[in-house]
Amino acid sequence: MPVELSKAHVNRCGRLLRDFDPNAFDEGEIYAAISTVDWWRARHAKPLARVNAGLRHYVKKAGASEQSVTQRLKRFETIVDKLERFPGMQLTRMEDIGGVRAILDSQRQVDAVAEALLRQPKWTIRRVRNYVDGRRPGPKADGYRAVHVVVERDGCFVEIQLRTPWQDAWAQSVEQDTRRLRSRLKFGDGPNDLRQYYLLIAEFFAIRERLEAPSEEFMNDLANLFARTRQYFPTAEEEQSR
Amino acid sequence: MSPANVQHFLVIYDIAAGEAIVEHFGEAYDEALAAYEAAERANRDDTNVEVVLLGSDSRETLERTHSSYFRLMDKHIDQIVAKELEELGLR
Repeated sequence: MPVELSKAHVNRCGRLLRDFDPNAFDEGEIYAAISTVDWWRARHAKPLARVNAGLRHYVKKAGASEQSVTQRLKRFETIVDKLERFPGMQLTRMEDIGGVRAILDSQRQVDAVAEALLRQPKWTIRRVRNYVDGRRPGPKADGYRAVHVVVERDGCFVEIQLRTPWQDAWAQSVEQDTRRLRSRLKFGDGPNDLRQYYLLIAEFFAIRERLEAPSEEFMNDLANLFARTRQYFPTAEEEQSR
Repeated sequence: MSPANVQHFLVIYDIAAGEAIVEHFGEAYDEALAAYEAAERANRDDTNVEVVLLGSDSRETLERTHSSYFRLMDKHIDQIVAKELEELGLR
C-alpha cells in the first residue's frame, strides 16, 4: 500500500463500494477499494488517540471521571452503509470515521466540556450539533439526544459525542435492539409502534433530567405504548435462559 | 493519559448469543488495527457478527461507554420504564 493516497482516489474507492453490484463487479478492483478504505480509516488512528487523550483533560477539568471516555474506529460495514444512505457524501468528508464518546454526569457537565472544546487551541472546530431540547438542531427525529463536536486534527475529522447517563442509556438500548431485532431502528426505521415508544422514552428521560414531572396524560401514553410493544422484548424468563 | 497509553480492545460481538469476545492489545495500536481489518474480512459475510475496535483506559470503561455490546439487563430503557410504570400502578 502506498504511503499516501490522494483524497480523489479515496473518494473514488468509496463510490465504487457504495455502488457495488454483486452481479457485476471486478474482483481485483473491489479488493483494492476495500484496502484503500481500510487505509483511510487507519489514517484516523493517531489523530483519534490524540483527541481521546486531549478530551480526557477537559472531562477531568469539568469534574467528571476520565474513566468515561472511549474511542472507536468506525466499522467498515457502517462506513459503506453511510455512503449508501448519503449518496452525495464523499468518503473523505465523512466526519465520524474516528469517534470519541464521553459519558458525563449531567447536561451541565456536557455543556462545560463542549465549551472548553470550543476554546481550546489545538483542534479546529468543524461543527457543533446540539441534539438537545431548545437548541440547534434539537433532538433527532427518533429522540436521540447528545452534543456532538466535530474537530479536525492532522487532516482528519474526529466526532466527539458527549452524553449524559440517561441520553446514553437510551442510545445504547436502541443500538442493542437494532442488532437484536435486526431492524434499522438506529437509522430511524423499524416498526412504527416501537419507534414511537422509544421516542416517548427519550422525552421521558429529558423531562426527568430537567427535574420536571411528566403529565398524567404523558405517562398514560407511555403505558399504552409499553403494552403495545411487548412482542419486541424478551420476557424475564427468556432473558434468564439466554 | 497520553495517546500512546491508550489501551486497544477488539470486540467481536455475536448478535444471536448477545455475547462479546474482547481481545486486549494493550498499547499495540498497529497490531490492533491489523487484527481489526483481518477480523472484519473474516466475518464480512456473517451478518451475525459485528466487529469493532475500541480504545480506552480499561475494559471497565469501554463496558460503560459501549454497553450495547455487553449485557444491559436492568439498564435497558425498557426495564427502566417497566419499573417506573409499576411504581405508578400503570402496568
